[in-house]
Amino acid sequence: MRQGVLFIMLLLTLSLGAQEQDLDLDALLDSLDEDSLFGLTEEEAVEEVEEPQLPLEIIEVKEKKFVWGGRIYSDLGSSFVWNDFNGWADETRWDPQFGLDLYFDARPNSNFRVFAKGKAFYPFNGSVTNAFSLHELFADFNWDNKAYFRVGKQTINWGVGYLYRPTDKLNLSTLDPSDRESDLEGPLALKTQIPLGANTVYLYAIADEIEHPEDITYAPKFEFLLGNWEFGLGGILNPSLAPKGALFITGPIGKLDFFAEALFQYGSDLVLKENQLVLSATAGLFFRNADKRFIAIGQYWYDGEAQSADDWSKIGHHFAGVTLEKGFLLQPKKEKSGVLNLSLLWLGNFSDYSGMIMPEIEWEFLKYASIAIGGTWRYGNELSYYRYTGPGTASAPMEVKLSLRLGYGSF
Amino acid sequence: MKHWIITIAAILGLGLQLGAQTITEDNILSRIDEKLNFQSDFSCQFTMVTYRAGSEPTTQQMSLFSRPEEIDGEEKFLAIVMKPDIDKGTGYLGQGDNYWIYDPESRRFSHSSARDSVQDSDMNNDDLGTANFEDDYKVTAMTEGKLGQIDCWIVDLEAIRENVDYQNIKLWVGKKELLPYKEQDFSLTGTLMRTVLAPKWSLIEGKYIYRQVFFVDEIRRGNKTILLFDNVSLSSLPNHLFTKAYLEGSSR
Repeated sequence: MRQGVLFIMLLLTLSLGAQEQDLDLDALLDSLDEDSLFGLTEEEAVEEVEEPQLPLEIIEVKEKKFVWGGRIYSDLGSSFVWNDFNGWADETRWDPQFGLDLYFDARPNSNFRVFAKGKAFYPFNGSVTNAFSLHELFADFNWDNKAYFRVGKQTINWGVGYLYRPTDKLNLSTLDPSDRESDLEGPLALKTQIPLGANTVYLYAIADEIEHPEDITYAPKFEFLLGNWEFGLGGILNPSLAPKGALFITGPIGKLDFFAEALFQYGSDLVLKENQLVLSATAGLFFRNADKRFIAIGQYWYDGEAQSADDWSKIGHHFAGVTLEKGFLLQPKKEKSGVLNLSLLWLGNFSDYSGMIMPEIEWEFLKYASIAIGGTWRYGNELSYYRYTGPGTASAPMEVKLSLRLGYGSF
Repeated sequence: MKHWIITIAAILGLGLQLGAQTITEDNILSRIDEKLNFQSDFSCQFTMVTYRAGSEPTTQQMSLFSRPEEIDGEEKFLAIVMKPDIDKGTGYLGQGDNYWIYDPESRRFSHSSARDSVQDSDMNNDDLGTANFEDDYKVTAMTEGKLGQIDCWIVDLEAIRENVDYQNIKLWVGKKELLPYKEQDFSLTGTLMRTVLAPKWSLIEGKYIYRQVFFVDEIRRGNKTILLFDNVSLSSLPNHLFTKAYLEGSSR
C-alpha cells in the first residue's frame, strides 16, 4: 500500500516508546479482526482535520525546553590473563567498570540552545566533584538560518572512517576501533556551518589550550554531492604545525557503502619529516542489515607517519580491520525471548605482522541485564604495534573476560 | 423564488452527478492514485510499532518532514527520532537518492545511497513511493462486497511491470471515498504474503492521508507493523529544514 510520502524509508532502527494517539496497543492488536477494525462507516473513518499547528512546532515547541538525559552502564567483570599458553591464567583481575553519561539540553527559543555533557567513571576519584569530567559544553545559534554557529567544547565531525580516521587531527581523543561508536572528546572551538542546498561549508576555529590568538587552528571543509557520491575537501592550518589537506569520499558500490579519506600534509607533527609530503589514507566498505541484525565493516589504512617501536625511521605502516556483528533472537516462538549478540573484531598491521582478534558472545537474558564472555588475542613480537605498551613492557598475548552487565541503559 | 432555488439546486445536483465519473475497471486505479497522491510539503509525528513473534513490541516515534520531487526537483526528507530514549536525537536527512544518518552521540553523519530496505518492518519498497497502481497493475476482476460496515469495490490486480513487490493484489476500495481500506498481496504462486489494513484516514486540504495502517506478515505469523500519523500538515516547509545544519541543531 503506497502513498506519496517517502517517510517510511527512514525507519532504519528499532525502539520502544509512547504513542500520540492515546493507544491501547493490545486493543489495537485485538481489533485486527475486520468487523471491529472496520466497524465505522466511511464518513466516520475519515477525519477531516484543520491545520493543527505550524509544522515546525512539532519539534520546536512540543519538545520540552529543558531536557536531562544520559546513559548508565556497568560491567562487573573478571579478566584472566595468559602470558603464555601453558596451564591456568597467569593473572586474574577483578575488573569492574561502572559509569554515567549525563547531559542537559536547554532551548529557551528556536534560535538558542545550550548543551552540556559530562562523564563519570568508577572509582570516581574520591569525590563527586572530581568524578565528573566535562565532555561537551556548547551553545548553538544561527543567523537567519543561513549560517549556523556552535561555540564551546564540542566533538568535531571530521572523517568518514568507521575503524580508522587518519584525517581527524582535530578531536582530542582518537577513534578506538574496538569501541567505534564511542563519542570523541573535542576541543574548544567555534564552528560555522553554511548550508548551500545539499552541500555544506564548514569553518572550525579551534582555540583549545592556547595562549595567543595566532595559535588558533583553522579548519575549513566543503562537503558536496556529485550524483550518489559525497565528497569533502578540507584543510587544517596552524602556524606551528604541518599544514594539512583532507579528502573525503562516500558512495554506493552495489548494496555496500564505500568510504575513504586521505590526509596530505607537508611534514608531520609526529615524526621528523620536514619538507616532504606525507600521505595517510584509508578506504573501506560498510554493510548493514538491521532486519537481520547484521553489520560488517572492512577497512584498510595506510599510515604515512607511522613509526614502529623498534625502528623509528620505518615509513608507511599498513593496517586493516574487519568487524562482524550479528544478533539473534533466541526462541523466537516463545512468549519471551533473549537476544544473543556475537561480535568479532580483527585488527592487523601488515608492516610488522602484529594484530589482535577480539571475539565476544553476549546473552541479553533480561532487559537491562546480560552476561558476556570475550577475549583478546594479540599476536606479534613484544615490540610490535599491537603488543608494545612502553619500554620493557608488552601486552599479554591472551586475555579472557567474563562480564555481568546489569542495569545499563539510556534515559 | 423558491422554484428558482430548487431548479438551480437540481441543475447543480445533476451537474455534480454528471461530473462524477462512474467507477469502472478502467478508471478505478487512476482514481485511487489521485486520492492518495499529493504534491506538497508534508509533516507529521509518526509512530511505528513493530511486533515480532517471541519478542516485545518495539516502537519508534519521530517527527517527519518531507518534500516531493515536484517542488525542488528531487525528494527531500528530514526525520528526528523522539523515542525511544536510546535513539532520541538520531536524525535522517534525505535528498534524492542520498541520505544521511546523524548520530547525536558521536555527532557524526553517515552518508548512504543504498536505499534497498525498510528494515525490520513489514513494509516494502513499493510502500515508500508515490501511489502508482495505474502504471504497475491492471484490473483482472472487480466485484462488490463489504468490509465491516464499509461498502467496497473488491478489485483483483495483476502486475504489468516487473519491478513490483507483489505479482497479484486484492484491494478493498470504499465506494464512497475510493480509499483502499484493505490490501492483500500475493506471490507469483498465489501465496498470500501480506495483508495491509488502513481503517482510519485524515482528510486535509482535500487530500487523504493514513491515520492508522496495519501491516500483517502472513508468512511469519505474529509479525505485524502498525503505523500511526499525528499532527499531519501539508503546509509549506522552509528550505533550511532539509540541511545538515538544521538537523544538527534540532537533534540533541
